[in-house]
Amino acid sequence: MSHGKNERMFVRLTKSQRIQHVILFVSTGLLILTGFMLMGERWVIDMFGSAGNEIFYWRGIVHRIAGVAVTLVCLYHLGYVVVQEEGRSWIKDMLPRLSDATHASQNVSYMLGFREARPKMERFTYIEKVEYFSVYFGMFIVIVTGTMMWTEQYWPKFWLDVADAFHLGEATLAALAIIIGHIFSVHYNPHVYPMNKAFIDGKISESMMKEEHGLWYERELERLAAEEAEAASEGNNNA
Amino acid sequence: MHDHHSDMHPLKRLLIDILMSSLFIMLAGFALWLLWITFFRATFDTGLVTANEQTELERIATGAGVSNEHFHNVDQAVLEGAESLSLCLKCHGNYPHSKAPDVRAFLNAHAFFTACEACHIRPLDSDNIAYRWLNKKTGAELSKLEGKPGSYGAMIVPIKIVEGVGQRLDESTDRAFIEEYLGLRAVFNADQQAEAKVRIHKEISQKPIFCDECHKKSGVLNFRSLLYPPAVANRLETGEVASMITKYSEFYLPTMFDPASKVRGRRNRPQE
Repeated sequence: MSHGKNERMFVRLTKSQRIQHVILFVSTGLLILTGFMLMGERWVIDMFGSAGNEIFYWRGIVHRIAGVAVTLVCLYHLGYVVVQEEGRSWIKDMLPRLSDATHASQNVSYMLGFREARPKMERFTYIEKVEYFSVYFGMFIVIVTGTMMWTEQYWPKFWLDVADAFHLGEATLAALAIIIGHIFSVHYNPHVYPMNKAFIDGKISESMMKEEHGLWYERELERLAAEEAEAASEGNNNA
Repeated sequence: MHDHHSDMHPLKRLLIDILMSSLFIMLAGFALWLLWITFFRATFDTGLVTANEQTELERIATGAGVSNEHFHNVDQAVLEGAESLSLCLKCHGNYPHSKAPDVRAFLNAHAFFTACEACHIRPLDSDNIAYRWLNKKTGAELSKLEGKPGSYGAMIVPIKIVEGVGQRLDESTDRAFIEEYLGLRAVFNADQQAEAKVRIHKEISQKPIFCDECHKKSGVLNFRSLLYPPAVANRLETGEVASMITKYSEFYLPTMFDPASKVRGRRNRPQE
């Protein structure tokens, strides 16, 4: 997908959303790194040599700090989608609808060559909605089980074993989903390679918006036109 | 804003491609590793065999591998029968260590594969003592360790070597006296019992050999001459076992669970 240098840009992510995303991905990256160190191959751990004890001490500290950060940003986000206006608009557009099923089947047909064009999709495609709510599901599991393991003295061994299995299982699922799904779509997908910069500047180009979020694009144009008309009429009234 | 990849300077594009390809390889490798640990990796790495220990691999290949499992929750006396019980246990019982609640389980676990005299006779500097695994039934010296840790059907016995002849220190030269005493002790009064006990325990050292005197480098026991493979010997000398003892001796947990001990002061550990 090519974008001209002087192309019209639309807002994809607000400043608050970008900050939440940065906190989420930095702490998740640290959590994956420091968490899977516990599953490390022996020969890799042996390479730490005598520094190993110190490194693993800090591993635990960093994992807990990042865990707290990710918990706080999740709690903040829950408040954000209820209290703030841009948050309410976000969650309203994110809720699954019947049209998502239609878009999914149409998109699969397109990819298999049975349809001429991609379906026109909303602000959030059905794939993005699944990704977004997977984070709710996953965060619920890792935060609950992580808290249990942090307060291990209060739990029976059986429930700690359950928590351990769920924590590792969800972490593996999440790490694979991020690498295979998310990293592909924001880095290696030819539309955006080498990087979709929306998470930095919050902007989406008109051409990409048309291609991937056709319905949202039409909606935005209507909204902007209505706003302009209103401003114009207000200007006339004032005059 | 969105730089068109193909509009870039060729060198910049090449650099980005190299960076993104390396990142791709790393991510793909990590993803494959996740699949590996989830579905294919063995659940417990014994740490017994490492790549640079060819002798270890050879040992395993010849079927002489020593298992590395824990022996907790297994009563060795039940598993192996009581026919080889030491004479000491006739008075002191199957679980002879009871005074120090925080370490007695370790000591009693050791009692199933270590002769009492191995710890309770402290050799003089002039003594020439060898510690060997001897079969509990036949007394023959083991030439290799087979079976679960501690359950080799043998125990570590101190052997005093005098002019080239070995004498087992766990076989009392006073056995007849002790057995006769066992028959008589019910009718002995406290003073008489005490007098007999002095003779029975005359070889026993006041201060036994404590955990960290063996579980260290160049300690009382040479774990290599006790047939342990180098990796296990290291573990017993400097690895988890030794560091656990170090931590244990400064450990706060048992005091926490036993508030009475704070009144008594630190409990009567063997070395104190």
